Amino acid sequence: MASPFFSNQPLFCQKPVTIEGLFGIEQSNALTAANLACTAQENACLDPNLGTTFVKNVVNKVIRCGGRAIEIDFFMKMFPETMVPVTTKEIWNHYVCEADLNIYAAASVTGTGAGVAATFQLLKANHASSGTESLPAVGYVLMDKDNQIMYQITDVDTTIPYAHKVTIEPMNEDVTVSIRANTAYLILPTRMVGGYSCPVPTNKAMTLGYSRPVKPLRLRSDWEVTIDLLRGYQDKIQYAVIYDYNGQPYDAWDVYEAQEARQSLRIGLNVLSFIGTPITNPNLITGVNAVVDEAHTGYYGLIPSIANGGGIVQNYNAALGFDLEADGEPIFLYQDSLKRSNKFMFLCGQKFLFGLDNRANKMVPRTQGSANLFEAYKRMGDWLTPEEIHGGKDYTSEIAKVGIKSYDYRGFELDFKKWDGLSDKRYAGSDYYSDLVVGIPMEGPTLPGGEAVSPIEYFQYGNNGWTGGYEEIQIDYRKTNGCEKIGGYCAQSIMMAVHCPQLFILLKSAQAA
Amino acid sequence: MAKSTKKEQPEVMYIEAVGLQGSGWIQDDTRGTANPIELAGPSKLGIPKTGKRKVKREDGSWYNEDIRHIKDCPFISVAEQKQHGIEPSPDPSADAIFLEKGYGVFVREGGAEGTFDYLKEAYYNESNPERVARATALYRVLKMDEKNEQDIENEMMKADAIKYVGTLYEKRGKVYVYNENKIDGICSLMAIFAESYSGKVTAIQRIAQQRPEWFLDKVSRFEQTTLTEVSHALELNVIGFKVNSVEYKAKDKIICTLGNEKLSNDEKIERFADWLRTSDGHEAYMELKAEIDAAKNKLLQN
Repeated sequence: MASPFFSNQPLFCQKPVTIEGLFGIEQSNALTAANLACTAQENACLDPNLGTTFVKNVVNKVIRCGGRAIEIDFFMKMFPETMVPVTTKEIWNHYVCEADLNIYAAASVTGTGAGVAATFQLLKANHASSGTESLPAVGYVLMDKDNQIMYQITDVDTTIPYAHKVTIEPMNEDVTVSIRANTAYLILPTRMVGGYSCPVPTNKAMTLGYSRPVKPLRLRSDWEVTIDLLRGYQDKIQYAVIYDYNGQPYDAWDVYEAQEARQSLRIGLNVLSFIGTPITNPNLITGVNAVVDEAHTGYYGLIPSIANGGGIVQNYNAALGFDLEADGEPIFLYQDSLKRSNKFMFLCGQKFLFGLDNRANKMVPRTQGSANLFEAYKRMGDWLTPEEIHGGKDYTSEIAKVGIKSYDYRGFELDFKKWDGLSDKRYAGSDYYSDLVVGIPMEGPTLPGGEAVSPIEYFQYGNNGWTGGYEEIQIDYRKTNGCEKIGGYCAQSIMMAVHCPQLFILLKSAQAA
Repeated sequence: MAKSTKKEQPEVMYIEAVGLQGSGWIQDDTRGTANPIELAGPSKLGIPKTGKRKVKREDGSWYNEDIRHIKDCPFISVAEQKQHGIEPSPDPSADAIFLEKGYGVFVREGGAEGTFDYLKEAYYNESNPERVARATALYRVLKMDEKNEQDIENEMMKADAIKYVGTLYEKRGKVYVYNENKIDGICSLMAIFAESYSGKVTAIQRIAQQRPEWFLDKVSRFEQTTLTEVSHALELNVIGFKVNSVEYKAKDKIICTLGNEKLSNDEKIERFADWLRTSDGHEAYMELKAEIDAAKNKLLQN
């Protein structure tokens, strides 16, 4: 997507520099003017020892030009990490779909006459167990439910996998068989029998699901700093020269590098949980350039899970904004047809919200023919004096555009919550994400007992007290190899599962041109 | 508006969503089979009902025209729809276009001409040669036959690769017998580390399944190179076989022994080449290469 702001000379404030290197930056030294050889006094006295060290008058030590602090934990703040302990490095979740008692025909079939049997082929998707099993069975009833017509299933030919043939006979002698493709026919999995009947057992297991393994992601950040740097500065520094990711000057009884290492770990965890996918390239797993092992290939993040794992993705025209009626209602109807959640928390980027308000403000005039029925703007502020009005001013001088915080229609409830991180271009955000919406089901997945499961769950492996939980190690090299430096690392292993992505909704903008 | 070429056979368009990729979710009864069914896209993918298309003027210049999908309406140009007084359906879901699991089939007939033309001509169509690059590509047109052929080719390649891995071991009764030299050679070639031979074979198998073409290419090249070198060494009289031992002819040095079975000459060459490819044979391989080079140089000088 094209960026509305463009510069051919971009400025990036993320160039790595060592602390020692930072101290030696020319401007830094110039401010303290510690080098007398460069001063005018040298010319006067020809003796640097007689020169006067002057300090430039830096009034404010640091003036931050950045915006709000980067929300490094943007994902895990939204979906807090409550760890479920597990004892293995590979865990599986099994998901059961809703059973559907309807079948479809591969092609339309019409009987040769009233009351005469006809045969149709079952759609491939209605087969299970490598194409050997299907729902129709001899004796069951097939209902053309929309036309209230009953058929008796008299034969099911299962010879060819994925191409079972079902023979049906109309229950009503005046009816001619008419089976159409793309039409759902209901199977009643029971038999109509007479006063005396014999057993005809049939396999009733028909629920198919999906399973997915989750492997952990392990991240590590190392740091090291020479003790010489901690002993005292070479020059008198007039302003703090060390800043964190958010431009905050560093001042603490802790090593700056260690703090950065912790933050960088959180950056990795948050972004990969948001949009990461497992490593599948063997070169990076067991090959010469291996960075992980087979047990730590990582997991699918939130967005790839929804987009590729069967979620509902609605693209809307970016220029027009999301229309609750035109773009939203088809999704709500689909959700209703499967009796899924009708309450959603829509986590949105800033741009989406603007587009939504604009589109919604036009929705009422479009349907009612009058803009007065729907307040899109509000006049605010104090009443003005007659003199002020006489001076050409209106009776109120402030205006507010009315936005939408929630939407409620026939049981469908949407709450819009701004997810600031989506529009933070300094970090994981972009134009694309600013337009994105992640719809989290409020009535999400449940366990067989009915207890709700969080749609996003984290897992922590461990055994006998040894876990992959966050750990921080400090090394005093003076005690190991004698070098005067200290160092360390922090590391964390984590597993995350997005449960039942088909319950989620993803709204994505599409540029029409 | 595009017109169908044959009246009896309306145009059919198979489309696939852009960006489909595996999600790790495999349908229960298909995991571990030759055709596992993996969720690889959204269950429903909504295509915007409004878009743009390219329209050329008579003077050769062009402009982006607003287009809109209205069910059962043969016109997709918004201007044309307005001209005929056609408005979107009051039922918002009537005009919606969804791809199921990332795929859709559209036939240009029976009132669906507008849907077909809209999908074909909108800039959202990645296969539209007229599209502008900055538009978001949401789907592409598949030529189904070509895709099937490509699928078949991939399957065949995968089958070949798996078959090759099958030659690395055999099951005698309840015991697996591994071609250790060959397995070790492939493991060192592909930097596979596993403690047992079953583990090594599993790792090789995984790579063969994931990247069959690359795997077959690499393995056959590797095998061919060593076999050629052993044959050269024999031709140049650098080495010779004495029963099942391989030795340097000039140095009176045994390089390795190829077991106790009775082997044909071809089998000896193959087994020696297999051994050279292992980490145990690596040093001998380097020495053999140097000896071959020396013998070649000597031949040239004579």
